[in-house]
Amino acid sequence: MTQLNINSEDLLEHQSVAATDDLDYTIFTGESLDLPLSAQREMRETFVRTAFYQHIEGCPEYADFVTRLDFDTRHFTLASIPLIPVSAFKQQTLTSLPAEQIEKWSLSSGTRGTQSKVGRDQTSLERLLGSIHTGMEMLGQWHEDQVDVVHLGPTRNEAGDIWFLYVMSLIELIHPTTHFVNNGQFQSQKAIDSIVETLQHSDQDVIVVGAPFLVIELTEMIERQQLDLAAKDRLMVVTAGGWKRHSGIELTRSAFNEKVCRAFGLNSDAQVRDIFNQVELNTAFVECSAHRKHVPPWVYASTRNADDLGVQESGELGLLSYLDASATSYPAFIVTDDVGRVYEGTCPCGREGVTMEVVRRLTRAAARGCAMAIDRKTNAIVPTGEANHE
Amino acid sequence: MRLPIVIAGRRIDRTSGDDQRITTRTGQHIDLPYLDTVIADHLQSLPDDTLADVSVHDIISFLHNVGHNWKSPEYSRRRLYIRHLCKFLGYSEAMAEAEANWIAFNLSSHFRLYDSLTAELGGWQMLEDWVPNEEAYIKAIPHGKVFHLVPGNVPLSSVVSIIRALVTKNVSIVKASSDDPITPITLALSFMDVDRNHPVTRSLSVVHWPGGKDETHHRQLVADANAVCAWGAADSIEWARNNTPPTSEFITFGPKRSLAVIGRNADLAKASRAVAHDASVYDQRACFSIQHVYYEGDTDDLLEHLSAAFENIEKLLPKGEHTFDERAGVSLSRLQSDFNLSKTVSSESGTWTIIASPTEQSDIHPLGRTVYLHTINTLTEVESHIDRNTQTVAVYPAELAMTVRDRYTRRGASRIVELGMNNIFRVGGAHDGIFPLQRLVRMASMELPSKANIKGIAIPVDQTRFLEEDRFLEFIP
Repeated sequence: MTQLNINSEDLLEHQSVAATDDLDYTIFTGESLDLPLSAQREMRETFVRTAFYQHIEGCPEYADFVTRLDFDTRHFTLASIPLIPVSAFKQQTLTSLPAEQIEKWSLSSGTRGTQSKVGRDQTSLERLLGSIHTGMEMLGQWHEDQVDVVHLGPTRNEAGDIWFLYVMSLIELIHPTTHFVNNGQFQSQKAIDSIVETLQHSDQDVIVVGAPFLVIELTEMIERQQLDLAAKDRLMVVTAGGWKRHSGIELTRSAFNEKVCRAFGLNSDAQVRDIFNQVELNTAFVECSAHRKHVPPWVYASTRNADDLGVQESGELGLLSYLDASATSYPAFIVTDDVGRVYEGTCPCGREGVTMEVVRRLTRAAARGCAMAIDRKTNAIVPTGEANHE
Repeated sequence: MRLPIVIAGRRIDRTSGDDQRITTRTGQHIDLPYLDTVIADHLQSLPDDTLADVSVHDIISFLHNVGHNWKSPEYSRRRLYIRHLCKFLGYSEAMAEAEANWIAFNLSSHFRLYDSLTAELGGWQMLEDWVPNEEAYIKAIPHGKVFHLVPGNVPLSSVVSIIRALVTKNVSIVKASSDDPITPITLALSFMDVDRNHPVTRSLSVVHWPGGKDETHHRQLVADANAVCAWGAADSIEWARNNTPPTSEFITFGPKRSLAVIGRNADLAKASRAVAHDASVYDQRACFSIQHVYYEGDTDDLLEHLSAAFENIEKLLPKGEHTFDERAGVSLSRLQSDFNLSKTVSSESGTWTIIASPTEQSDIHPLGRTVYLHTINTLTEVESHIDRNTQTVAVYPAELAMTVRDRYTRRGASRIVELGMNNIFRVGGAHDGIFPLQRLVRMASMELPSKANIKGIAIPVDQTRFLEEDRFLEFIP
């Protein structure tokens, strides 16, 4: 039985976390990414298998699908577990628990027309927070009063049902946070003032959290105002939410890191990290200092080939797929529209385990040429794909 | 491979800038000369009336001669073209051969070109001389410079766009697609093979720059054009629209989608052959490609016939090479359908897929020879799937067209055709709701002098006298 290592009174509107099993222990101790590879593999097998049985028990649509495939539920490998395409979450509601146990319904940002809708119970939400907490451990160790988070996004209340905004706002449950998007308006000057104030008049560190395009906006303002922040090792920038959304940012990741380091006066680009999550996934993958996103041992991440969606070798480019055992309210056994790579082994940061990278968004048919492939519900024309995390 | 750009009958292999490298769908590279300001300025300085005094006969005869070369299997440029379509665009040899044949057909069919002019303008003579038209003489005047933004999904589109501009005596600047720079450049070179100094050859220039990386002098070519033909995806058309001045003619083709309707008691074997054909041509990348089939009966009855028909087409017109994204898109759609209780049938090699869908959904259509089958009880149920983005509704049997044409076109469909004929645009038919040849000219009139009575007025017109005598009312019929 473990408590989350946080003390916010309004922890997801609940007073405590019921850590009922080994999975909760693994998630909430926050040390899972430092375990040996063999231990991670073993845990992954156990957690994902257990989750599979839970979902064929609880989710009739998934159970029916598994049955129709004549899937042998006694003898199987993780690689063979039936996958759900993320598009299914746009067309139907998939839950493994009674509706009354769903605490929060979340929507994708819907850059491709119809939005995905995913329901989460208390346990799933808490485990998501646990995954963020685990990932944040890779950023550094701070006592609560040693760090001030500048969040380039809205509060949880204002985030509403939009999953990306909600996940970003969860940082407030981990560290003292000020939100700099109010009523949809980004208050960039206030954010800069806050950073300057903390750096110059306190000994606290700063974590700037936001979507890349807002971070870019901030850096450009800093450059225009010719501010010499010289944050050195006292500031980290944590991004999430994709690279080209809204702004058409053409920067490569390395150019982005360079720009951010220059604007804030950082010692190293290891202080610029990205987090990956999407509405159908219940775990956040946080970058280490080597800029690899670590997959914790309760998620089986793999890439799938284009022709039969079979699992590929480590490092091979393919469709990203996740079997996430942390979701109890829906089967998070998904194959996504993202193209990327999954590696297993020792990361340059020194940790053993699984890492992943998103290379780009799959370009679904007819983004070129005069044929039109449309989302039938919205008639939204499919845009050219980008690596847009939800 | 290196390709030149072609400027008014001149082949340009080098310019002041670095070559532009295109990576094609097969992962091959094509290098093209950078369109620099010198070439762009030269393009702008070219006359826009090169064909103004050339007869329609001369233009069509020249095109016929070019087409005659294309018709010959021994023509080296045709052979090279076929090889390039296979190597760089991933076409199967049969698909590439078919494309070369269609290019030959479109160029060689001189009678069709005359008939098309007549059907769309009211008479091909309108381009040659002043033609009496009630109380006026009228003449079709070419716009002058036409800028073409051509697509890469259907190679023939660029040929059609160029031919239309030429037979209406316009001068063309073609921006080749990065998905297929081969076709318009090969066409321009084939003009030079016949006569590099012919006015038709001098009326065609083909250039390229990578989409999304346009520079001021590139955009200026669009801004200076008297008419713009924009084909392709929504973002391409939006780019062209944003750069076209309001005074210029703006003609768009796409993006569109098409569907099929099979009536009750249809011969399912024949209907299936037609569906398989129309969903396989261009591997379903064309705006006229069938994506969904609505059958007034049980779709289970269609599955066996349609599977056999797709297998047959695969032998005749093997599927081309598909990218990772295209193949993954099909796999995801199959998985989605399996999850959604749809009945999915596909070939062992994955070259075609049939999804008998009990629901309306299909999310994003993956193309790649994939058709969704839907059972309907009445033909009116199809109407909710038709809107202004619908280009072709293909029906089987053909007589069904009489029943549905009013309702389906009112909903937004541009064409009603017999299933199996989607890719053939008949002479006299409209294209995406317009007569393109009509839009490539402006109608000028020379009206009759006062000595000719205005119809309905019994005496010659002298307006000042009418005012002086205040007798206008007397002459109103």
